[in-house]
Amino acid sequence: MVRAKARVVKIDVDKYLCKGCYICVDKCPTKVFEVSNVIGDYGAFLPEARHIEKCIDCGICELYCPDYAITIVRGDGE
Amino acid sequence: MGRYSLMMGSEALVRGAIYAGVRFYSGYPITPATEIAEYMSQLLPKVGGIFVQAEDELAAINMAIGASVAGWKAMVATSGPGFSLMQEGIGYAVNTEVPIVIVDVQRGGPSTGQPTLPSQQDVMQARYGSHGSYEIIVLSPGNVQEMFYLAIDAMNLSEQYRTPVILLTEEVTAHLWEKIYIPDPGEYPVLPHVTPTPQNGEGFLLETQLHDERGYNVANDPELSAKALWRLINKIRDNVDRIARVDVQFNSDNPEVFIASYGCSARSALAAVKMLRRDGYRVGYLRLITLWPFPSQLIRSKLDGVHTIIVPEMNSGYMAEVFKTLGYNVIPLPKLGGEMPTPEEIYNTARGVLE
Amino acid sequence: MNPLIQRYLRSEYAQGKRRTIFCPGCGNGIILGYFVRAIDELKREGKFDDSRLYIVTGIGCSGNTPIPLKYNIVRALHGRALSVATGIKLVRPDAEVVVFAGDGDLLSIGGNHFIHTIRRNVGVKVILINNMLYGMTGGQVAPTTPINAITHTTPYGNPEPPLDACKLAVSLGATYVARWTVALARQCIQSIKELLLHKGFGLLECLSQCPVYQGRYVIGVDRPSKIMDYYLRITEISSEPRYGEKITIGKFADYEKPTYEEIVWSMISKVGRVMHGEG
Repeated sequence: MVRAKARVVKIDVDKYLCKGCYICVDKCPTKVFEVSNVIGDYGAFLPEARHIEKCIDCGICELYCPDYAITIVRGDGE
Repeated sequence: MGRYSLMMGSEALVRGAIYAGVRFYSGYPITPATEIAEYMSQLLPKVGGIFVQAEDELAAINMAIGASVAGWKAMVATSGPGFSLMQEGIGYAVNTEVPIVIVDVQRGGPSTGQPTLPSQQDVMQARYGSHGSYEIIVLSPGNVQEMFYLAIDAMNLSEQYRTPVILLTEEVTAHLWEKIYIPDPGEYPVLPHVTPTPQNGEGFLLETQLHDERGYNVANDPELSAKALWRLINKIRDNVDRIARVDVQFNSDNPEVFIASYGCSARSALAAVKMLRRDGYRVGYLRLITLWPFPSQLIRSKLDGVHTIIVPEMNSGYMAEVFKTLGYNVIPLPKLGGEMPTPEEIYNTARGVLE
Repeated sequence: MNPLIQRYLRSEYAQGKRRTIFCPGCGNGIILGYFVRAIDELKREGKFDDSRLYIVTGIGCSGNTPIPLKYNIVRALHGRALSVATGIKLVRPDAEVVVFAGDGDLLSIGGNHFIHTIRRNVGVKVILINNMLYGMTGGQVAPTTPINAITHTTPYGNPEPPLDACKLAVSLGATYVARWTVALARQCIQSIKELLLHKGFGLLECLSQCPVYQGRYVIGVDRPSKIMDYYLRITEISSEPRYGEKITIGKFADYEKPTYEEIVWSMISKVGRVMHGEG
């Protein structure tokens, strides 16, 4: 039986580390991220994974983040 | 009981370094230090050591620092033009506290200068050659036996104080053949090698900017930077008494006039003092073994009551200037051109003063 | 904080007390993540022992890339990282020595050491982070800056053609040479893994991004992600290195030959055998 990959439940953005480069926002193939109006500790508006249901778990946001601020959190699907 | 052997200064230096545990040497051919590289290339592999002829002196000193960090005692040797190139490496070793010995076999300078003739013109460069404020230990051998022993002392001081040590000699001493005593292993003390140590389960961080004790960069903090740099400087300054060495002779009748020198010039100075004494003049002899840190306290204590110091040296009068800062009446005897000051020259000047 | 990366960071970084010094969108941070993931994958495959790892790093923004890592890190002077790495590798041939350096550090002031380290085939692995200029000092021209580019020291355009580090390495006989861009995550990670498992000298040139200087002056874009798009436009995969209007990427060399430390150590043990009368 083929086990399905766990679904992405949420994508955390660390408010201390994020410097607001928005590579995650620009490069997400399904536009999961949007720039929020919350300011992080570095002084930049934090990106937010608002449309998590569109996430295809390509992992690009986590791979590209220069400040290891992004964590993809997976959980068991329904 | 060791053995006696007739050898050249360069070979004595190499054998002393190997006795001290040096197992890595990287060099570049340069007159008159090339023999040191050649002896090292023959003798090091026999004791399981590594010799590398680097592509330039910059590579040579950086390879040696890498080898020292990785766990082997390392040495480099060069002459004036190469010594100028190695200055950045010396500063690197000072700031990162890596033990290493740098040998400068002085020749006539500046620039290409006089490749095959001796001088003592690098004494200030040895002290102040690299940029920034720092202290350094510089030793000056006076004969071939000291080329052997001071090589070991230099390596020991380097390990003890975690600092580069410069062994400053001259072409004539490096090419001189004399009979020396070579001790048996264990007869002369040798300190173990120190390397940067990992702490708290993580690797060490060797940083070239000013850093705190964990290696984190503090260059943007004036207070912490000052603290870091003063620590490096005081590491040497607070230990001058333990580091400094001089050789004082003919002072039992408290002469008021001394002839002070170092390295090869001191041999002529000693001959001149003996001639003067034979002719009834009261004059003393001082030889600096540690050029830097300059042993001011030690000299003042041994030359108490001395009025005049004559300083023969093979440069434009560098150490004479330093003796002046101690308050003595100094007669500089600077000699350029590549010939050692002769005992007669020193005798004539001294007699003029003593009369 | 990403837990995978956190496991490999030095305490002040892992505890969230200190950030990296990189600008927003800097390629150095991205490459740091690739390096950590490559080591992590190799360790889980049981192919790499990171207890013997020495990282030698140069001066500049790219030289600061590995500083947050918990490994033994030796900072070298500008341009001299390869010499220090050679000294370490000779004395500890069992150690893994990885060098991080920028394009100005490795190819300009370090050019001579680049040539001779490759010639000797010293077993050090070099990750060359190429952002086409000197970043730390404010965006000056470097040997890898494209001709006619505007930088802080070429305000009227760069009069010098650029240097192709991979072509130079291949012609000197480097046994592993590859070039990828920072946008090609899986290729970079795979290449770092191959680099770490390779015997002998290895060079991975990673075309990286400096959004503050390279992005704004040399390329003319306002967002870090657009530099990735720029690279996708000007690079093409090839087996031959070229660096001009188009830059070729891919693996240019991957073979083995005796390493410097092997030759030196076998010579020393031969001298020892002769000395002890073993012929």
